[in-house]
This record gives sequence, structure tokens and C-alpha cells, in this order.
Amino acid sequence: MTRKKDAFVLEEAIERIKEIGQRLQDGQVSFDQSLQLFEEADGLIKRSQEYLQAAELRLQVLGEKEE
Amino acid sequence: MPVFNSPNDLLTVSDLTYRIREVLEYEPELQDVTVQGEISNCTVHGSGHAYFTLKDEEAQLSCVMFRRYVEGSNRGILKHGIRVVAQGSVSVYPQRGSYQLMVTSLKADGQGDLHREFLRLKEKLLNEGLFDPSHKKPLPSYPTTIGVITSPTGAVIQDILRTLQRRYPCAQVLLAPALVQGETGALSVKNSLARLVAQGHPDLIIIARGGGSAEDLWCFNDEDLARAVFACPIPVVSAIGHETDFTILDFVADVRAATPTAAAELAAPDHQELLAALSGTRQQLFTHLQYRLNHQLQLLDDLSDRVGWQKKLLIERQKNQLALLEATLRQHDPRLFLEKGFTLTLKNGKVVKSVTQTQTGDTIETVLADGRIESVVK
Repeated sequence: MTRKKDAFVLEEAIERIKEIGQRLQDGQVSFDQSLQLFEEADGLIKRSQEYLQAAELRLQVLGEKEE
Repeated sequence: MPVFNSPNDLLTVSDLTYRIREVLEYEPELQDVTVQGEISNCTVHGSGHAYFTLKDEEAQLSCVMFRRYVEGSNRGILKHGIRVVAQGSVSVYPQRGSYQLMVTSLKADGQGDLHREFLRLKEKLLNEGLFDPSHKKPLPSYPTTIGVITSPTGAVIQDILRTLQRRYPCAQVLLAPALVQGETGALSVKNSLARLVAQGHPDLIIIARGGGSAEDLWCFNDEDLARAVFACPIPVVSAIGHETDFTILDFVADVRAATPTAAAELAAPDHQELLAALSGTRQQLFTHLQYRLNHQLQLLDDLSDRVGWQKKLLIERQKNQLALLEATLRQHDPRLFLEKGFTLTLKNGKVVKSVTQTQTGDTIETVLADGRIESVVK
């Protein structure tokens, strides 16, 4: 079982959101850039919220014969 | 019963041995005995049977323990120097001319020796650096997949699943079932660990077992298992027994949890808290953006005040361009032609461009600037 390349990884999303927050706070980015960054962060926050609102824990039992 | 009936009554070695065997094996006091002593020269053969000697200061006793009893007992105490209480019956082994105790159950003599063995292994691994904090891997903050090694039945897995469902239902749980007690427990846990690493790639692994006696938990004091956990590339959380129980696994694991429920709580964040934090972050970012926007507008106002004449010029130019654009558009507006007196003829709503499109008796419509006339062709 391998993770899909395009699979959403919460850890990565949250790291990026933090990074964007930091960059915006630094005030080094232009207004246009900060708009873009906000949109990116907003998208990531929405995806993270959707991900976290999953209703059911997924359980898989690893069989002995599975190689 | 005299052994020698008369000087002429010769016995073979076998005869005598079987007589001795009868005496010993039919003696009720020698059957189902409980013996206390110290183990020495212990070997476990490929067959699974264990052979050892029980001794005290003055005597020693050969012992054999068959596989089915070895498997049902605590392998950790089958070691040289451990003081035990053995239960079994005396039997004779004619081929070697010896008597032995056939052991059916073996217990540590009190907890003293088990504890000494525990301390010896702990000391050894400690000196090798297996418990060193510098080797402890941090747990991931937001695990996608959580590996669990425990018994697939029983309360422990249910406690873990219930806790994760409550805290972090977005996770995937990979359960690698294992025996968590008895002689094969350590090996079973070790194999499940290897399977999880090779097949599942979880972000962390919980090894858990519910409460039990020191002997029940003994398989987690296994040297091979400790080394496998130490070498495991994925962070391991141990949750063995109750809060007061400590095993070698607890020392070598990256994080020790007091109970299986506590392990699940350590493994995953609370999704409600995270959702609240994300909403807060979004609000902060939005507020920041609003601030930037206001600031930007203020900057523009300041700028236009300073270069007012340039701004006016710019607006003039834009106005002229707009007027020009409007004029161009108006040139293409059909209403302009109608205003000049041209008309448009329609038949059934379609423009009539040629007299051939009409016949006598057709109703046609003439569009003028201020209305329409309906007429019949003659």
C-alpha cells in the first residue's frame, strides 16, 4: 500500500498554512502576492476542514498472508 | 519387595531398570510433586522440548519439559540461574539410566528472580544506548495512518478504536494482530512490527496490551523485540498493562503511554480543536488581508493627493477614450439608421432583403424608429 501522490496530507497543508501566515505577517510580500497567498491558504483551510470532518475511522486488518 | 530373590536369580539391566521405574512411577508421593530449585544447563531443543537441571546446594534433579508445556509457560524464566517452582512427576528414562522430573508447569519462585532478569536486561540495553533519548523519534503531529499491534479481540483494540474515532476519525488504522502473551508473544509482536513496516507504512505504531500479571507481560521484556523496536524506522508508542507496569519495551519505545487509551490520545490530535484552530487562523488571515487592503487604499489616496494634476489628466484621457468608444459603437447601432428614416421589413419575424421573398397576400411588418406597421402585399 502506497500513498497516492496527489493524496491530501494534512501535515503538509498545515505546514503551508503556517508558512503563509508567517510570510503575510512579515509584510515583505506585495499586496497582489498577499491576495494570492490568502487565496491559497483559504483553499488549504477548506480542504483541511473537509478532511477533519470525516465521519468514520477507516480500519484495515493486515493479514498474515498478505505479502 | 526384595529385588534379589536368590543369588542365582540374575536380572538383566532392563529388568532392574523397569523394576526401579515401577517403584518410582507408582509411588503416589513422587507423582504430582512441587519442587523448588534453581535452573541450570537449560536447553530448548528444535523439537520444542526443554531440558534443564534443577539444583540446590546439595542436590540436583534432571528435568524435562515437553513442548506443549513449554509453550504454555513463560519462556523468560527458562534460563540459567532463575529460581523456580516446578510441578510435575518423577519418571525413569531407561535408555540413560536416569530418573527425571517431567515438568508440567513452571513458575518463577516469587517475583525476585523475574525481577532480577528484568534488571539485568534493562542494564544491558541501557549500557548499549537503546534507551537513549537522542534516539527517540518524535511522533507526527497529524498522522494519516496509525499502525496498531495488539490482540484483534478484547478490550484493548476497542479502547484504541473508540478513542481515535472520538478524537481523529479522519485517520486510517492498520491493525496487525499479534499474540500478546505466552512464550511466542514476543516473536508474534516482532513479526507484526516487521509486517507493518514492510506493508503498511503507517506514520506511527502503537504496541498495546491490557493489564495482567508480571508473567503475562513478560513477553514485552524480550531482548530481540527490544532491538527490533529500536531499529524500527517508524515511531513506536508502547502501552503495556497498567500505569504502574514497566516493561523493557516501554524503555525502548519512542513514547511510553500509561494505557492503550492514553496511547491513542498521544497518537492523534483532537480534530475539534484543530477545526477551531483552523477557523481562527482563517479569521486572522482575513483580518490581516483587510488591514492590508485598507492600508493599500489609504496609500492610493495619499498618492493621488500628492499627484492630483496627473490623476486629473489621467481621468480626462480615460473620459476621451470612453467617448470615442461610445461613438464607434453608436455607428453600428441599427437604431441610428431608423432615426434617419430607413425602415426594416420583416416577414414572419425574418428580415426581407429581396422582393422575391414575398408573394401577394403575405403579411409583412415594417419597423420604424418609433414603432411598427403591419401590411398585406398586393
